[in-house]
Amino acid sequence: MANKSILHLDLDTFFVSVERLLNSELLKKPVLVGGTGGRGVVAACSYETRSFGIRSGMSMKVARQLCPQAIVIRGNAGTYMKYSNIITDIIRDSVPLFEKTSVDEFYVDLTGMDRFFGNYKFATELRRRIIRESGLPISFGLSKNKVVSKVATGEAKPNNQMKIDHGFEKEFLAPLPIRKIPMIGKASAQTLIHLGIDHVKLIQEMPVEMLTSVMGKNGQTIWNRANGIDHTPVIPYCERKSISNERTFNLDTIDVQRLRDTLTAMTDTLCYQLRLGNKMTGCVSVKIRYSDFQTYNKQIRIPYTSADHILTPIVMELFNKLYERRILVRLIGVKFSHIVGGHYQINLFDDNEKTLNLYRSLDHIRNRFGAGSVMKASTLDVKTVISGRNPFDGEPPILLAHRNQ
Amino acid sequence: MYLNCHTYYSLRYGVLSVAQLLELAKKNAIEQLALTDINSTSACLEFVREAPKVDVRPIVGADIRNGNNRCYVCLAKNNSGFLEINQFLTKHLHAKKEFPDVPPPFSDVITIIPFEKVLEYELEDFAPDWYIGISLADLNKLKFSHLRKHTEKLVLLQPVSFCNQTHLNIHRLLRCIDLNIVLSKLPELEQGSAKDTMHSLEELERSFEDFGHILTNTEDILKMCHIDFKFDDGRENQNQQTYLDTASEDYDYLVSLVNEKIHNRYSEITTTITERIERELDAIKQMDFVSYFLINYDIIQYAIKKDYPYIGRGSGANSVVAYILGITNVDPIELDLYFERFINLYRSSPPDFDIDFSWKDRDDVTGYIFERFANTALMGTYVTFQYKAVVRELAKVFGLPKAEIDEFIKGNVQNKKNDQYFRLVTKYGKLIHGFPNYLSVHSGGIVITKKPVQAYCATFMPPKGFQTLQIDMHIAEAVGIYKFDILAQRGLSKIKDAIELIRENQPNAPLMDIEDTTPFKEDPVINDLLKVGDCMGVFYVESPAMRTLMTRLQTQDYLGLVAASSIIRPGVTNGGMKNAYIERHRFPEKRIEAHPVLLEIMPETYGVMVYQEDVLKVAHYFGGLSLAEADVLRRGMSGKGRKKEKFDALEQKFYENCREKGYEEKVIGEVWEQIKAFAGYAFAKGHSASYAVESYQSLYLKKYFPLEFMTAVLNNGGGFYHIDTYINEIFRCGGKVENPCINNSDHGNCIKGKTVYLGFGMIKDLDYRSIQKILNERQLYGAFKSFNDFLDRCKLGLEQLLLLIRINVFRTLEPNKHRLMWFAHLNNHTLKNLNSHPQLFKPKRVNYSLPTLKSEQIIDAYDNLELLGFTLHDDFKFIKPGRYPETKEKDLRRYVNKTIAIIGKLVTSKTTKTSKGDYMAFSTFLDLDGVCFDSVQFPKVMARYPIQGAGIYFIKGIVSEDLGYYAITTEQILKIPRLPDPRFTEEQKTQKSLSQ
Repeated sequence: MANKSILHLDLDTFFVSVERLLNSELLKKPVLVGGTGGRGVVAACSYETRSFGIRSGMSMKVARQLCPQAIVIRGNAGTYMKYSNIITDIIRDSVPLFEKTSVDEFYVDLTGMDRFFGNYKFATELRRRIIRESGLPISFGLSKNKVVSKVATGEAKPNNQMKIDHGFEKEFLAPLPIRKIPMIGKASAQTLIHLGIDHVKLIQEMPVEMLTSVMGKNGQTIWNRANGIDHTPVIPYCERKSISNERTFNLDTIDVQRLRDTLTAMTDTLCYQLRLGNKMTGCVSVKIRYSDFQTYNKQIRIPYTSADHILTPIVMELFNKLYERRILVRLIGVKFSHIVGGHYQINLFDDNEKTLNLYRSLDHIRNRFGAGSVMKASTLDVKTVISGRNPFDGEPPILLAHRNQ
Repeated sequence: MYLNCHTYYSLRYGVLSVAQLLELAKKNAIEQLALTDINSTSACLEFVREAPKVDVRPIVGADIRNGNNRCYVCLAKNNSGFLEINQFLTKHLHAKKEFPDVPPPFSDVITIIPFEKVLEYELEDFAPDWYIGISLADLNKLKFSHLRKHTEKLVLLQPVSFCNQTHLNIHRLLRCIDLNIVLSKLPELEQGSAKDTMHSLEELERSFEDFGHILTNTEDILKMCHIDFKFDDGRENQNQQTYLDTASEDYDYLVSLVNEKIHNRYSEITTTITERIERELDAIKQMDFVSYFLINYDIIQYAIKKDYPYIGRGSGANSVVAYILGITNVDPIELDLYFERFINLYRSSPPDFDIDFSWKDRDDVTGYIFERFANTALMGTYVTFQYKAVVRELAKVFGLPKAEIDEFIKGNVQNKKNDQYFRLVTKYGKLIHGFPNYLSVHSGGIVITKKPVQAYCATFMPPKGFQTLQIDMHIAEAVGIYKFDILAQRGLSKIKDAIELIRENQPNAPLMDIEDTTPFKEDPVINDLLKVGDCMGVFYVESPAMRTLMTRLQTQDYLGLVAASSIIRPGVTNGGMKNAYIERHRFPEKRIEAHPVLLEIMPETYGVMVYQEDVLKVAHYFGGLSLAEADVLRRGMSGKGRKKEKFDALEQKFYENCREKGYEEKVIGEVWEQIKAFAGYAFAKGHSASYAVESYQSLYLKKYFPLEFMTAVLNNGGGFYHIDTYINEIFRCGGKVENPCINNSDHGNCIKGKTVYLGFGMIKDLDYRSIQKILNERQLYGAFKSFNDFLDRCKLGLEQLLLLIRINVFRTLEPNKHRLMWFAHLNNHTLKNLNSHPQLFKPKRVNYSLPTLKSEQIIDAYDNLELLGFTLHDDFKFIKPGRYPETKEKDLRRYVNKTIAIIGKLVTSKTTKTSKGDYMAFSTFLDLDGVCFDSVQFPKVMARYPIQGAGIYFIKGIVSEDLGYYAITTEQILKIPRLPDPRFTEEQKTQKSLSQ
């Protein structure tokens, strides 16, 4: 098989860079973008803040304590989307095959290109063009597969580029700490570190059977990745595998009725979104985060459906089973996964045309007057869980720029 | 008028105390009141005692419920009805069975079935003692029910649980605590109603206008009930009265025992002895304590037969009869102990015998007592809600997370967001504080009564399987039940185990008879240990306070230890006489400072009250009080209410008498303060002497067989200090301690030569079953030859296996534990994939070669800390690198009144409140050589430099010297951070790349 050539592009501190583009006073100053409320989370932080120990995902409150002089900006997802699209357009314009994995991250398949043009030269020019036309800094990694390229981008940053030549992948990865391998998250890293593995070289030398015995199937993948082996293709279209809705309360609550109402509203919205995209779900899960940040999930497989009156009781039942600790609730959420295309089928025994007509009429009103135009009375008090966006439009899910935790 | 009143002994339901309930009755002019707590008769005795004082006629019974579902209410017509109710409750509580829907047949009990239940079960036939209970809320329904025709059977059944909304709120919170749920999840069915209050008679009459006969019926059935108990001064002894068949047989038996056994104790019988015995026997007979002595004798006979070590103590240890019978082990004549002071005609309660057994033997002894005597039960006790515990529980009811609760309890109230909840928690915490929370078992009391124990209350069955009274010792004593104290302690088994270990490990070593303590008391080498307080692990004297005291007293003989054991009690210290005693003891010229009268009464203790009997002596000879009055003082002011009044009267009399005798006002005040300080805390001299004997036995073993003794200490769960302090002691005594080892360790810790192998039992989370598997396999088929050999022979789960690997159990087979972990995982994986059919041949193992994995001491230290709770490494090696002082304990004397800087590992820190309400601490550390040194942190330092748990500290301060005892008055104390666990720092280092 001919060697492939995969380019990974990643915008540096994307949200911060956009803000700086809009306001040049922010240049070279410590900037934080994220939720600004009491429970906000850092969505992006400029390199100037890193030396203070600030990381994205950290609570904004802690970040402010670590770096009081930082300028805090409440993120605006719409603006970022716009810039993300500008860059997407440039890439679409330049290459035949690319994959957008998030608002600020792209894979490009350059295999075969070097017959006409040096790959590295091509990538360099693409990067320059993006920087020139969008004004945003971007870094890339280039190698024979997605994993190595992504790691290379990480090593190149900020605002730089890096190529790993064929045959040097293992050598490149060997000295890195294991967490740099995509897929080795906190938990896997802890497992491996407790087994005396701290850098990638040891994974490379470890017999693969050993890894699979510890980590199951993932062990094989991790071992492959550590050895620079990755055959995943660049896929141009992003198919949503799940849709979800969650809410963090400003004040933790034990008000069970309020929690139930919020879940009802979420389920209604998600069902509407399913129908909007002609989809059905086969798996429902409910999530609770307690006041002490312990998070619990419970899920159940169900026959495919998109009907409120079937999904709401399932969600409630999961919630009743899940909410058993005697602690205030900070966040609740609902997720539908195992999504397939199709319309809801009438149940031979319980349904009648009336129900279907009801959904049709309700959805019609929502389509015309907005998603929040009609709702269940019990959910009137529930705020900000309603969304009328069709999540199945092929775009990657939006990362909320003013997230709460 | 009310048949269904609840107190807070309806646990986690009721809110009223007995006194509050009676007050409520008085306010509403109720003359007859029935107390019926939910499935409990615990408050009945107190109710019967208190009610007549406010002119309420008491009636008792129980409210029988399954969960919160009220089945019926039982009222006792008389004492035998009360017995029936208690037996009924007991039967169901023991079996943890639901109560039947329809009441069982009783003969002296009135049963009231609630209206709703009558409808539910469609009851038509009513037994003669059955009635239908109508509450205010039922009235409207009754009008349209066929049941109204049973005019004779209808009575008022109105629950009384609350007075106001606050009570209802408390009730709801208690229900949540009980059900383990948050407040918003409390179902209606699990709560009482807001209407469950006491309505005034007029209101009742108004409501029952059309049903006047209901109220009359109610009064009538209440009049049928009569319960009778006698309390306090009017009480009769309720204990089993005869050991054999009659009192005279008992007495003859006691006399014959004394005559038979006297030769074991005294080789030469002088007239002093015979006269003393005669006097005691007379008193015992007159006070009807013969059976009490014989029952105690019976118990220790059993212990002797089973070769159980025991020690008799308490004020009974002053009795020569007890000494001759073998109940106690100190000679009261030699020690000049006066029994009469404890057993005089003014005292109706018998002297206390506390008999200690090893914690391993105690349950068996208890079992024997239950079999031997007909009516036995353990004494119960009510665990009340302590303020912090309520705050914790309530915070959970409001759903607050643990970390925030911890902060709040520590007093850090910065958490604004949940402030509203914490305000409620504080408010209701204060209200609930002091409520009984749950029933528990008294630490050692056993009652042996003449009537069935259910004549007094119901019993419940705690996990150990001995029925336990649902009342506590105070009310039991008031009604005339005196407990036998059968206690468990660890000191005795430490001695017994140490001796076994010595016989095994050093079979040829000369071991003296442990029972003959005379040579120990005279051994200067042993006495030197006392003088410097080198007593780690020794019974009763190992605490820092005792070490300090003995150093300052320069204790070096048995009598000195007896005195020190008593002085350490709160009585002497609180009375402010500890220092006076020490000075007078060390410097004879100071002894003249004592008041001449007091010095004359107590020459041996330089005119300072030390023992319980000293209070009697002083009150009697100095204060001119009668012996009976003095006895009230001896028992202390712990009582409330009435007892307090009695005490105040005595105070006045004491002052008057003293003034008459012409003592100085200042002296009178001081002496009275000292008496007050004793407050029932002091030891009788005989009691201290018994303890000191056990201390000497441990001291002998510690001095001559320190390693075996410390191993025995570890095997009995340590003592005052944390385990690692005893491990340090083994190192200090020239021994070695090793982690559990696959081929050397047992379940408990064992000693081979000079090496102590920790037992598998020390590994937290290691199952008992896993340990058994390992030990069985090793016992049957010999030592494990390799790690694979182990895997083949003991098929442990992965989690268990990893625990063993992490604690380096296999170090003799393969030193690198990371390698072993990989092989353990691999083995687990292969096992899972094989089906579990038995295999003819062992599956062949593939020998994978692994890369070289590092091993670090610090990782071992952290694993030890996590799995055992301590490290075997020198903890000073694992602190953040830096320049630290190298001073040690032995340098303290060079720095007297000068500033010293030193580092030390915290052993224990005791925080106390000063008179101003600030906190200060006394902290003990181990220096670089593992030697103890002490320090004190005054409030100012405490506020600035809080002590933050176990670890190594840097201490700067001025050394003070007091009679040969050195301590550092701290000026600065800082915790030195430990080196971080490299496995977690790795995580932080890599987090940087994650953030993108």
